Amino acid sequence: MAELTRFVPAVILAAGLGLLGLTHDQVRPTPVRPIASILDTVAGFDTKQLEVDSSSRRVAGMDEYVNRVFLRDTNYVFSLYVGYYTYQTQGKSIHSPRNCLPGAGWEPVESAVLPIASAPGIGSRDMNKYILANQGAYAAVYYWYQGRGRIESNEYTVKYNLMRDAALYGRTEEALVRLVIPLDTRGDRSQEVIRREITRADSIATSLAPRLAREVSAALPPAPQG
Amino acid sequence: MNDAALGVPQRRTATLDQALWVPLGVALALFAVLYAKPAYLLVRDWTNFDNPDSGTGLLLAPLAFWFAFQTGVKEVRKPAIGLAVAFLLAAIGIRYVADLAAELFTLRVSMLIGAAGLILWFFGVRQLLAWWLPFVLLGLAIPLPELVIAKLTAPLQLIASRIGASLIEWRHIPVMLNGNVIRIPGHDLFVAEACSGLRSLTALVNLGVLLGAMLLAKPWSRISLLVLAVPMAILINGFRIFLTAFLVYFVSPEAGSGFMHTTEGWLMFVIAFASLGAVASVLLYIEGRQAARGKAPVQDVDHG
Repeated sequence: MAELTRFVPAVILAAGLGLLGLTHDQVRPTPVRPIASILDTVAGFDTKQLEVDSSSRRVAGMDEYVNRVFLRDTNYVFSLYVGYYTYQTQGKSIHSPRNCLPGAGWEPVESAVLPIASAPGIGSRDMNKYILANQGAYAAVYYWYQGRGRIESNEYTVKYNLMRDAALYGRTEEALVRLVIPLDTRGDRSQEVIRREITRADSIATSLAPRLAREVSAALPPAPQG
Repeated sequence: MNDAALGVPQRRTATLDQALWVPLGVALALFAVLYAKPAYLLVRDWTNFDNPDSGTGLLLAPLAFWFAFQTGVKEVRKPAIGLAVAFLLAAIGIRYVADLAAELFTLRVSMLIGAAGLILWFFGVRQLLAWWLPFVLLGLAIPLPELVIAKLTAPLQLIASRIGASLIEWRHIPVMLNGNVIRIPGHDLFVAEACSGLRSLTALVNLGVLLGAMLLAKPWSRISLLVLAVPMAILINGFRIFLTAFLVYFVSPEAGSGFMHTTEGWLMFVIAFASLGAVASVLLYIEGRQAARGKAPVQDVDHG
């Protein structure tokens, strides 16, 4: 082996280090409209803003968010959370609700994917649905990922797109959009009551999702060109 | 029993061409800098005792290095330059993109690909093949992505619930299964994510790799052991669910949680390990029989 060719691995690894130096040059686009303006009113509902405490914010790592509860006659009907990340990197990335929500005793018992009618942009334009249970209480959670012109429910595709767009455009900004609807079973855990409540929750989520997706799309930076 | 009897390769040392010491040293130093962050994050996960799923790395990684040391360096060195460059470029590309997308699993896998690239360049394909076990163990030491864990957990929970409910029914206890909730008279048993059996499944697969490498010689028997480890883990976890329900119904509702539940979990884990050991012994016996048959002198047959 010629003297210099022996150093080829070292040269490749050094080039890799140089390439990594470019990682920090990522674009960090801010929202076009405040995230807090998303779905600020829904006819027939009162709203209440909820603050995410600083330690939870630090762990979640979002740059902007809205966390709002929608009430009818003081009863909690559903809640909305949109967390926006101007960029994502190790320690500052969207945590899947699939992994985060089942804390505090909540466990998923059922899952499905629902379409978002007339959703803007590209991607699957679906949302994930999880039914969670905790000691006789049930809740339905609907969520999707939105950013860089896409609406996506499949978390593998989200990861792939993140890597692709990071490499091609230096952009990783994205929002997690989540609706939580408690199921009002009033202690009755019969299949009939649970099914009826799931149908009601699906109806709320599928009617809200198109407007929500459009408002999120209007608030986020435009999709990368190319 | 000595190492040779256990199937552990006997240490062989070969001297690396002195002209390669400096290039190897420089490459290793750059590799260490390039992968300092993934390595740190990996060790941090292994030592995060709040998440015991990742802790197996603390056992597997030292074992991998020990096996690599035991195997030593092959005497014949024939560098695979083209393959090495391909591996190194792939490792760099994956390292870069995974870093951008904050994807820990691929970030860590790129470390193994990079290491394989260096071995291919400085020692050749034979060396990489000789170190298959350390590489497999290091691969198993990388925690699975959360997405994959979540995808595996839900079906495993349901399977465990079904097996548990079937066994309960078999013991004539009235039972109703609703997803991963098992209802028996007076009690609702929730088969939680922690009871999915994924932890014992990964532990049994790790043990299957180790036992296969140390005790067995034939690829078919090693693969059989690994394949059998999966249903064994699932069945034993289903039995654990049944045992919990049985104890809750006949003994005390407290058997479904706390110390009793944990102890019962550990007991089933020990049984699972012993069962896999027994399967490995049977495979070892079959291998022995086959070897003996292969060596047996050909009998004269009287066609008279």
